[in-house]
Order: sequence, then structure tokens, then C-alpha cells
Amino acid sequence: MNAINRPASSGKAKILIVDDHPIVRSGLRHLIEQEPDLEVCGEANSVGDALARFDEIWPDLVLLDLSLPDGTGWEVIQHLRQHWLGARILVVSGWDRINAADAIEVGAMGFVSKHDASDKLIEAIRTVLNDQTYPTARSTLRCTSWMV
Amino acid sequence: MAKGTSRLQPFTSRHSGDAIRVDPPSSGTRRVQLISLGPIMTTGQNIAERQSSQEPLRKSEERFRQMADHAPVMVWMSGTDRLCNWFNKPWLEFAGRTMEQEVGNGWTERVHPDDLDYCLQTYFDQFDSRQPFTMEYRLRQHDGQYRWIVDSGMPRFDADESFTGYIGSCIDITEHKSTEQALRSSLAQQATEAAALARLNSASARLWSTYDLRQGLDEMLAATIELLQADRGNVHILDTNAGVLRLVTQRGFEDDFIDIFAEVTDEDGLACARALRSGERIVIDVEADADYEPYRAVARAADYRSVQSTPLIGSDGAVLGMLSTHWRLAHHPSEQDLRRLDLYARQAANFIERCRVADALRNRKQQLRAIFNTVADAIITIDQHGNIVDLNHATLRLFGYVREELLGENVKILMPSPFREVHDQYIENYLRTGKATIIGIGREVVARRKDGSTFPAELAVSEFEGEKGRMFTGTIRDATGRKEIERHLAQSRLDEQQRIAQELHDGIGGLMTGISMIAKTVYVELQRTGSPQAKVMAEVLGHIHDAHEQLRQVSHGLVPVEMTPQGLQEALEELATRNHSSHVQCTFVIGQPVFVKDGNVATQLFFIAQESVSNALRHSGASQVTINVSSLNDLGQLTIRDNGRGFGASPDSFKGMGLRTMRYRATLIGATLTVDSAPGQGTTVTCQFRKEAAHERD
Repeated sequence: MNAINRPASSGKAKILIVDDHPIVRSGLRHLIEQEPDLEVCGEANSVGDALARFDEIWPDLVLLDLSLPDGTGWEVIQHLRQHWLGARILVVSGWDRINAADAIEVGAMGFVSKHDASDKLIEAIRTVLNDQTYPTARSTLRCTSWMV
Repeated sequence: MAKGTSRLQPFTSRHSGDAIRVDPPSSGTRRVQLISLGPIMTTGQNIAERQSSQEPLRKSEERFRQMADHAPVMVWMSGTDRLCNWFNKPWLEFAGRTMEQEVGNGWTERVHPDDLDYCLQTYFDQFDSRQPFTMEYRLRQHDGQYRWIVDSGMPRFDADESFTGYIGSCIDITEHKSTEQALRSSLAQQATEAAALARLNSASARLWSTYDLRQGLDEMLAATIELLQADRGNVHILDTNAGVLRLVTQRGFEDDFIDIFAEVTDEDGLACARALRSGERIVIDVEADADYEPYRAVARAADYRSVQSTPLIGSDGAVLGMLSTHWRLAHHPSEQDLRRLDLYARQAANFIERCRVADALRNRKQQLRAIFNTVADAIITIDQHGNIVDLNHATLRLFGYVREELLGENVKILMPSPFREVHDQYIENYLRTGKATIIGIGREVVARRKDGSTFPAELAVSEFEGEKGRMFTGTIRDATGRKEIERHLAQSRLDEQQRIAQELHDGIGGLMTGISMIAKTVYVELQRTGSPQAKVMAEVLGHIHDAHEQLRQVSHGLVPVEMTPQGLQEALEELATRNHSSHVQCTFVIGQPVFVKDGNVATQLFFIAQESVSNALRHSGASQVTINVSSLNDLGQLTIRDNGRGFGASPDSFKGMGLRTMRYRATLIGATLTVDSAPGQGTTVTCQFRKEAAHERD
């Protein structure tokens, strides 16, 4: 397992966008690039592409979609968790049944629904860059009835 | 009078008196003649004495003769030499002869030659033994006509008991004799008729006890030959399609002649063909009938002189066949014989029709039985106690039993619990209330094989009144195949919905996500620069958000349950959350987690839960609804329980509550669905689904 030795940079946090939809990548890029301390350092549209770009860029944070043409975002998380300790992964998914608990359980640090991305993405990015999980409250975790 | 029949009767005589009473034979109509003989019968006196008493004797004789001449009977007398020596006037008038002609043996000239020997023999025998006698014989009267007379003779004795000859009286009994003869003839005729009728009855009874056409036809022919005292005969049956009479049985004909009668058209000249043409009986003297000439040689060779053919007429008036009999000698059956033949022919026709109906019924029955046993569906008949009285082969195939294991058993043996425990009650309820829940309606049920395995089945039940009361016939179709197809279709539908949802989500949803984020970027920029267009862009953002939300709902509606093992639990949890409110506490409770891999099963269970929750909220006024999934023995169990007002047991109460849909969904996945509810006691919907469709996580 490797620890991420992040290269010196302009001081902006480098973000890798992984999504198979160009327009989604475009939207994410526009949102991010509005922030002066954030920059999109790369884009990938598949599992293989994502892993290759990660190795190449060593981003501070990966915005990861779960639905990819050659696999799922879970595979990316698993791979990065196994090989790159400390990789920050924020899941951005359209499947709102996938919740933060699921994402964090498998190794991501946060989860944002694409539905809410316009409003919550930047907040989520900053939270995860601060090595915190997003969302911070676990109110949406599983039904307490399980424990009844 | 029958020759040789002695009509001697025990006469009563008084030898010493002056009068003799003669009782005529019992058959006589004139009974009493009192004849005073008196002193004329005295003999053996010496001449002197005779002469001294001659005068009174002469007078007495004169009185007797006068009296006898006026008697209403014929009187004769004979001497010791057997010869008649005197006849009264009625006798001589009857004879139309003189005394001289009649005395001695003269009278015997008028006795009928056939009766003379008998007459003289009787007379002489009795004379010699001095016994009274009575005899009947024919005696010619003055006009040459023979008359029957009854002649009663008595020996005469004088005062000294000396035999002096015979005296006799005769009565004309011709009329009586004719009457007697007619009566005897009538009685004989009646006896003959009675015997013939007895034979007819016997023949009819034999025919009615016969159920085999061939055997009956043989019997019919034998009986007809016997009734008509014929020598031979045959029976033809009309082949209506070919329009010919076909020989079906014969008696008394050599093989060489059978071919001649084997097939007869109505154009032939044979008696049966002519009877077929006319539709009426025909009696033919072969030698006298001109039209029979072409067949005369055959008839001679076949050794018959007379023939009759009687059509056998069916109940609709159509000719069924022909009953023919033949006589070696010229013979024309009597009217009585023909009447009896007509009676018998009607019964014979009835018999043929009965056999045909029975044959048709038998064929139909065999046909139905063949269908019954070849249909793929199980067909079971039960009595009102639920006991199996009949079943077809498919039943045995379907349930894995042998016939003997099921006949007489209660039909509930073919049902799994809990249905088997309540089936008797179902029948009882129906018989008592007349309210049918299956009969004439049909439903899907779960059936149980001999090995305990179950399968979905479609059941249709009909009712009929049998010999032993009300009976029910159930047709059971294995719905496994159909269910599999339905399940496959449902799965395909789900797959398709999932594909569409995926397309919506990944395609349009992704597009809208991107657009939304770009628009948000533009909006932020416009807002930062203080552009008035920022407000417009905010509006655009709102519309994009709404559209995205609608898209999300559509997508969610298409695939309510995520196609993952835990998808059902998550969906049910979400269902509980969605319906939870300040008025209704809706909770999802799970004991040992049951994970359902089969997306179709999970989806159908979810819809059942959704429908049940909807019912509870909309109809029951419940404040608490609990959704529960658990594992129960080999089954997974979904339960939705509410504390609402519940509803009655009436099937009407279920209407509008989607119960049919829920049942359909349950059967679609091989599950059973039960609804327990009572007024004021809430409702519990329980769905047990098969373990193979459910996968437990250990």
C-alpha cells in the first residue's frame, strides 16, 4: 500500500473527475473551477481510465460516479483503498438509494447525490479535503428498527 | 258326443215301485220326467191269471201310452230280447216313421254311422248287466238332419222282480250340444290364445332382458318363428345410408341361400323388399304370387312355400328393419297370429331402438371416458362429504397417486395446509348457505402431490345432482408452466422497466445533472457580477431541478425495488418511512434478515406490502402499521399488520381492496396470501413465499 505523497502544486486542491457523461464532467468542472482554491486536474470516463489517471495525477480528491461503462465505482474505491492509503474519494451518484453509509462503508469519504450536486458539491468537496466524511451527521443511516 | 265316451250315471231306481225316476245326465237342460209304468210291467203270470187281469192291464197300458204320447220326451221300450217293441208318438214324429219301421232294430238305421257302434255297444253292455245307462248320439230326424240326443235307459222289472226289458227316454240336445261345442271350441281357442300370449310375453320378457343387439335379434327371430309356427326366418336391418336391407340373422336356411337374402334393395321382388316399399306387412304364397315368379325357384330350393315380412317400425315411423318368416307348406297366419306378430314387432322395433340408443350412449360414454382420461387436466368428482368418487388418469399423473389410493379418500388429501384443514368446512358452508366461493367461479389454488410437494393450480368446480346426492366435479390444471411464463413475463417486464429506468437515470438524468451544474455555474457567475440575468438563471435552475425530480420519481416508480439481495428490505424500509407521519406510525420491523435475490419475487412482495399499507391508510383508519419480514421454517414471510377497524368475513368486504391483485401477485411467485381481519380488530396480511426464492444470510 502506498501513502500518497502529493506533489507540490499551485496551492489549489487537485480534483480528478470520474464520470462517463461528458456533460456531467463539464458541469462538475464548471462548478469546481468557480472556486479559487480548487482545480480540475483531470477527467476519466471509466474504471480503467480512472485508475490510470489517478496514478498519473495523484489528485487530492476523486469525484467518483458509481455507474461506469466498464465496471462500477465500487471497484475504483476498492482498488484505491488497497493501493493508495489516504486517497480521498467523494462519491457523486445519481442513485439516491445509495447513501453515505454504503459509500463510507466501502472506503469513500463522502457521498453527494447528483440531484443535489449543484448545491452541495462544493461543501462536500471542502469537507472531504479536510479529511472529514460527508455528510457529517449520520441521520440518514439505516433504520433503527434493525436493532429493535 | 265323443265316441267311446260313456255317459253312464249312477241312476236311482226303485224296482218294486210303480214309478221310476230317471235323472238325465248332468249336462241336460230338461231334468225330470216322471213316467208311471204301473202294472204294465208285470210279467210271469200264468195265462189264466193274465186273462183274468187282462182288462186292468190293458187299461193301464192304454193310460201309459196316452201319457207317454203326450210326454215332451221321446220314449221307447224294449223287451228281454233287447229289441225295441214300442216308441211313443214324439219319437215317431221325430223319426217321421211308423211304429213298424222303428221297432226291432229299425231305429238303428237312423243312428249316425259314426255313433252306431258306440251306441249299440253301450246299450248291449248295460242291457246284459241290467244297469241303467245314459248315452249321447246323433239320430236322424224326419228331415234327414241328424240331431244330438241324450238317451237314458232303465231296466224294467215286474212285481216279481223279473226282468221285463228296458224303457228309455230321449231328449233332443242338439242346441245344447252346439252351445257346448261352441263353448268348448271357444275355450280351446282361448287356451290357444292364452298360450300364444304367454309365449309372446315370455318372448317379450326375454327380449327386454337382452341388451346385446345381436343376441336380441337372434332371440327375436326365434320367438317369431315360434309365435307363427313357422319353419324358418330371417331378420334384416335397414342401412339407411345405403338404402338396403342387410341380413343380420337367419334360421333354417342353408348357406347357399344366405347370399340371396344378404342384401336386399327395395327394388327387389322378395317379400321383405316389397314390405319395405309399402311399409306394410306382406304375406305371400310363393306358388300363387305372380310377382314372386323370379324367386320361385329359389324358394323351392330353399324349401319354403309361404313367407311373410313385417316391417319393424321405429318410434318416428321410419322402417328400422324387416322380420320375415317362412313356411314349408302353404300357410297364411291367422288374424290372431298377425296381431300378436304386430305386438311383438313393435317390441322388437323398440328393442332395436333401445339397443341403438344404448350403443350410442355407450359410444358417447366411451368417447367421454377417453377424453376424460386423455385430457391433461385432472378431473375429480367428489360427493357432498368431500370423498372422491371418480377421477381421471391425469389426476394420477399430476398428483403421483395410484387410483386405489385416492378413490374414497377425502379430496383434502390433495391440498396442503392450511387449506386441507378447512376444506370440509367450505363444503359444509356451501351446502348450508348456497353461497359459492369457487363453484362456477374458479380460482387459483395450491395443490399437493403425494410426495408432499406443492404446485400452483387452476381449479374450476361444477355441481350436479347425482344418484347419491349433490356431487362436485373439479378440474385442476397444473399452472406451473403458466406461472413460469407469467413469472418470466413479469421478470422480463421488470428487466425492461429497469432498463428504461437505467436509461432515464444514466442518460437523461446524467444530462440534466450536467445541465444543472453548468446552469448553476452560470448563475453563480451572474450573481457575482451583479447581472440582472441571475434571477432568470435561478428560475432556469428551479425548472431544471423540478424536471430532474420528476425524472427521478418516474425512474423510481419503474424500479421500486433495487435488484440486490437487500433491495426488498431497503424498499420496505423506504415504504415505511414514506408513509410514516404524525398520524400514522408506520414502521418496518425485521427479525432475522431475509434477503431475496430474485428481483421478481422482491418486487411482487414489495407491491403486496405497498397495497396493504395503502389499504390500511385509506380504509382502516389505522394509527399503527407494521411491516415485517421474517423467516419461518422453510418459508420467508411478509406480514403487514394494522390496528384499524378491520372488516368482516364477507367476500364483499374485500372488494376494492386490491385483494385479487395481491393474490395474483402472490401466486405469480408461488406464494400464499392470507388475510385475517375482523371488525374492530385490525387486519393482518400474511404472505408466505417459498424458500427457494428467498435466500437467508447466515
